[in-house]
Amino acid sequence: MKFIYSFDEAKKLTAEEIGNKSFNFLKLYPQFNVPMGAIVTSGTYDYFVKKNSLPSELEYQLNKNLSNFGEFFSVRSSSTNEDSKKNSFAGQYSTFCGVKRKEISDYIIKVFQSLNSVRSNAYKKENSMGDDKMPVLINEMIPCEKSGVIFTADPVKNDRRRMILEAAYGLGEYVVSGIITPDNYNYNRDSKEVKLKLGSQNKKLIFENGKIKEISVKKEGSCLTKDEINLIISQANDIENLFQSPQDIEWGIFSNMLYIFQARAITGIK
Amino acid sequence: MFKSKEELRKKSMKTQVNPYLQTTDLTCVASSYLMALNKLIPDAFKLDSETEMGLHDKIKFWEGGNGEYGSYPKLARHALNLGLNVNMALYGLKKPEFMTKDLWDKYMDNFLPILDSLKNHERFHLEERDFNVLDLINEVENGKIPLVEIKYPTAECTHHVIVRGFTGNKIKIVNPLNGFESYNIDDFEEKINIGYMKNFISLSKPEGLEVKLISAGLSASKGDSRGLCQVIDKYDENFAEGRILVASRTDPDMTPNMISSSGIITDQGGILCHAAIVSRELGIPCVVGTEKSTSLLETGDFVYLDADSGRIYLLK
Repeated sequence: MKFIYSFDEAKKLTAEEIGNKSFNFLKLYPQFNVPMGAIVTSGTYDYFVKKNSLPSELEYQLNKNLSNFGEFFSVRSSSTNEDSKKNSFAGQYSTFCGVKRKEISDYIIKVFQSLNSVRSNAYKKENSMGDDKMPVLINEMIPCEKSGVIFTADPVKNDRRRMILEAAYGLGEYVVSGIITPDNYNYNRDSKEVKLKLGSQNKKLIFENGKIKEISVKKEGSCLTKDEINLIISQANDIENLFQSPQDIEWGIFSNMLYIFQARAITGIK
Repeated sequence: MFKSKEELRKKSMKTQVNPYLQTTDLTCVASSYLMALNKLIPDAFKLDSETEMGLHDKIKFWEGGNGEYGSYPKLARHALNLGLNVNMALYGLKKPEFMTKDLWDKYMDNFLPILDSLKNHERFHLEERDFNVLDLINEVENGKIPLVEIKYPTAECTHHVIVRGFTGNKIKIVNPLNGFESYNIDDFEEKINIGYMKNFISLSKPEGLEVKLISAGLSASKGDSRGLCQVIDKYDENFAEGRILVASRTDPDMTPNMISSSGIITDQGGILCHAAIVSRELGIPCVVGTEKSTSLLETGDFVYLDADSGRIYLLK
């Protein structure tokens, strides 16, 4: 039985089989520059629930699918409820970065287990969601120099004429979790103007020698250059057109390349 | 029902009533309620919550004229010291037909947060006797006093008479709306925001409440909230329901606390961070990136969180 699919193969599968995050992620592939990897199906999760262990073929299939890519990976939850149009389940399920190729299967189990963790249940109760399954998305680890999020609409004011871009140095974790206050770029689609509100960042996460480290930053001025801002905005525009709805997009920049990690519908917007 | 401020003014001119009286102020509501019960009420006194009042009007009614009227704290304090369970008393009240549900809820909401901070006792003057309104009502109910006519009653009095079910026609209130005076807007420049925001702060002002802007950040989820805050740095199982959550940031473990909070303030983060996204989904007002709220606020501080403008006020 096939538990792991390459991106090309997985494009034929349904959201039920590969989870919402992977399903949306694959729509970006290969048009946009996404980190390569593979997908663990919900069938694998079912197997795990039934037998309380991973299938023995898994290790072989992982090797086969990931041997062409780098040494380190991120192992990301892609539950069948997560990233639905109504609820983002922001941070509810575990995602692991900088995982060694050989340890991936251990982390797959951890992601499976996060489905039933206390915090997820509290969130589910509030949002009255049923039980779901947990496919897993495996991506190459990109040691981003800069990263952030862009919303193709202003989620606070519910304004589709604006895009909100937030950026900071280092890995994206600190932007998403709110440990630092990122630079805020408010883009007006009509006037094409960008309004910058500088954030405050004194530390960043970097990925070096197989480890995630926090180092201090002395920040001066805007994190992104003009070209970078324009590139991110134009790609975000394309992604919005692709999905035909306002999108919440995670991106990162590594050695002058823009990577798109994820796109999902903005929750709480009309 | 009046649809606009202009219509309201016209109507009030016709009936020789000050337009500011037809607001959602408690005293006004109470008085109108009373008058409705007493069949004294002409149609002109019906309330219309859909009337869009201007800022001036709102401030006027929230500042409550000479301080006698519209002073909820006094009222609540009074009730409290009389041993009345104000919550119960209020919930025991029935919504008058002419009020919309929203208006009524607002009326109720305004009382509850104040109760915590009220201690002193006040009596009010009635017919040259120092009367406790509850005693008065008791005396009326027990038949010791056959009929009382209260002229120029205070808000307390009006409230209690209502709370106790307005004992028949034995207590008659005359001129319940007396005492509303217009305010000079220039005196309230600084308070415009506060007055507009929200019912309670400016009402408490005459009682010596200080309103201080303590920090500001990015508006991440609109709305406003006032109440006691609780400063936490991780999931806290003792987090009290309805409090305003103050943290340097939030993480998924804190989601249960976020769900039970009435507002969220963080030191760090942008409007696309975890706290911001979850609060938008939950519909809870949220201000992020305030930089110093956790150090400036302590658990138990009374806070007004205006997430529309991204400002945080401390009420003392």
